[in-house]
Amino acid sequence: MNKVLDTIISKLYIAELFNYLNNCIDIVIGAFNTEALSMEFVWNTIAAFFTIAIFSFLIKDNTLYKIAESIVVGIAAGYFTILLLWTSFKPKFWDMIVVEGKWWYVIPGILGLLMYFRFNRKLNWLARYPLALYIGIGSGIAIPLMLQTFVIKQFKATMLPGNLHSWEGVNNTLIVIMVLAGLIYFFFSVPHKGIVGKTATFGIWVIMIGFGASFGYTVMARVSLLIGRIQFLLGNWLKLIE
Amino acid sequence: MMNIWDKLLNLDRRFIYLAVFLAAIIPFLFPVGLEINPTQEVISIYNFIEELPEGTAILLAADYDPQTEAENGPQARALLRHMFKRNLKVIIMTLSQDGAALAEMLTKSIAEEYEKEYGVDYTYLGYKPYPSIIILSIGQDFRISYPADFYDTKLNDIPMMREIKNYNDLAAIIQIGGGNVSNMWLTYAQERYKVKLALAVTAVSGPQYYAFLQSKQIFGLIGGLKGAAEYETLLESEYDRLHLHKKAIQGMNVQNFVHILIIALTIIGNIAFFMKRHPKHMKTKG
Amino acid sequence: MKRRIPILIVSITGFLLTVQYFCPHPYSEAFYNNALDWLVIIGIFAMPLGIYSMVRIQFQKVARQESGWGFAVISLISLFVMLGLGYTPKCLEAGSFFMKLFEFIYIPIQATMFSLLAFYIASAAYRAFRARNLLASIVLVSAILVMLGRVPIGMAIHPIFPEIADWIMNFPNMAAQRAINIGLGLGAASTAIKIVLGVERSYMGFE
Repeated sequence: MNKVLDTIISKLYIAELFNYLNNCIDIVIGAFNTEALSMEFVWNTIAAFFTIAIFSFLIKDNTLYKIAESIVVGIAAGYFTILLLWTSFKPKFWDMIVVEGKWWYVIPGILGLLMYFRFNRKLNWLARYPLALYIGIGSGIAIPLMLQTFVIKQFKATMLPGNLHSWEGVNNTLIVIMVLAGLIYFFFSVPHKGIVGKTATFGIWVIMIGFGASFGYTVMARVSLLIGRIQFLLGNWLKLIE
Repeated sequence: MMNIWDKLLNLDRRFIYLAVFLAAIIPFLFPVGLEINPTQEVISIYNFIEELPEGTAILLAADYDPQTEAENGPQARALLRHMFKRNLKVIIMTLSQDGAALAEMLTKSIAEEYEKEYGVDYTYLGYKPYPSIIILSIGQDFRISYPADFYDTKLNDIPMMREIKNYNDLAAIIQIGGGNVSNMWLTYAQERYKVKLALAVTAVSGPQYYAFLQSKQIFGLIGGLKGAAEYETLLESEYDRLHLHKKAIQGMNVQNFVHILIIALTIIGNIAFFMKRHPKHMKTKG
Repeated sequence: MKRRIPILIVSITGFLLTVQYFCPHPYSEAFYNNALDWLVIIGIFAMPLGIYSMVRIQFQKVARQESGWGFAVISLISLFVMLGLGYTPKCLEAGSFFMKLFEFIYIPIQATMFSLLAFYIASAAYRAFRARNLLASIVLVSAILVMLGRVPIGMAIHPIFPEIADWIMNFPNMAAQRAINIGLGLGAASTAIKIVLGVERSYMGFE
């Protein structure tokens, strides 16, 4: 009787076990059958592997980190070459000459190719021509625009009506004093002595407050990048969070 | 024998790494919802987009790359969602080589959410090298640097681009990125062509642009993940309507803990430093 | 030929483009448009220079079997795999295998490399961010106030923290950045003027 019971129980257990295993297999197969889901998981696992490989550098420099680093160099160069080929070279150069017949586009093309003579000891002077064109045009355009953007407009915005009767007036007065003090600190043609020295000292205090603010923001920036990776690991990959 | 201050000063850096790691992981698993108050510089951009008439063309320069995607990505998504919600005609481009892929993925996914039609509601121009030259050339005509879009369709064959020649036909440019390229947009687009410009930058670049905000050379500024979280807060009803995940707001909740940890580490480091430098304090205070 | 002509090209184009800003005549506009058009093309050809240089270095490493040449092989294999997969413009569209490699290998590696900075900045704050003197103390206090004021917990501790952070950002920080910007603008413009006048030639490799 016992034997029969044991057999029944063991069969029941076996049946349950089989059922359980079957369910598991169904889930796995189901996941792989919904191709998009499984492929997404596979790709995310690859991404997670490389993410962890880079994090491993925090413990110690290691081969896995170096492999990931080398892969990045190759992929970056390959991607950029292909991107330039299909989205810049083809529409802006090849199609212009071959399809639209603008043959004169060959001239800037040749000028661009001259850059490659940089690697030739005898003919590297040829690379100076396209460089000259670039630097000449770039400098010519930059002179008035840099002065306008970074100097004239910035000075103009500093000329504010200051007073000590309102909060806004006090802040305006502070802006004028702080900007001038900061500028005096950077002005080394006059010795920083007497009133100039004191103003320059106040100027460096202002600049230090600015650097403190920049440090605070930098902390936020770096932490955001880490948060991004953890959102990926816990969210996209492990689905532990939304 | 090493005392406690020596031990603290010589703490293995990996303990600090572990603390940072835990401070960044635990809040995800046990979220604490704290209020995020939008600042005026972010509200300015929101109001500007909110008040534009439907069908107005706007340029979104997504000049960020994978390194800063965690900060700039949520900014870009929030801005593009707002633009599509307002039915603006959006031109998306990038001056970051690695950003070409990111901008394409961003554009496709958000356009799908809003069922927008390519070429009618939005156009993706892609990447071109040498940012300053590209920015200047668009001021003359988009077609100088972009004879075709990212998918090699001539600009004149794209319905919404037929009426758009240069910056004069745009309501504004909103640039997402930071650093040198943002300076170029300021100099070569805003100053040269007097086009309205707002910036969404990484937190590292953020402080630099307050000077341009005060001088009104830019009309708004979104700084880092905090700025993105502020924009998500302003668009909260839209995010809830579409059941979208507020990634920046979630991220800011984690920022709380890591910031507190870093402030605590700074204070502990300083106390240990001063106790070591002035041993008398050590004796009196035990 | 080797020295004077490039310098002359710089001076002439630089002068013409500076003048063009102030004289928006149709002729000068046409010249400006063409100059930009040409530069876009030169840029397209010049850009792969860096890639060419990188490939050369990696090949040299492998050929000479320098230390870590195995990693150079990995870089070259990844490069050629990408080049092979990029035979059609369709490869650049999201969803292609080419883009999958970019999205799930390149992006996570790059993003994670930069996220390591979060650990380093925490370590630096603990080890090096010291109130050694008045100036360092100002930086420290300002940083802590901004850090507190810019996260939601600052507001939860006391509503004064976001206000202080706002004030620091909009006034002292703004003034400091402005002083730096003005210096930057003056420096950049004066260097450009020196280049156009032919005084500054080091960019060409001349002394």
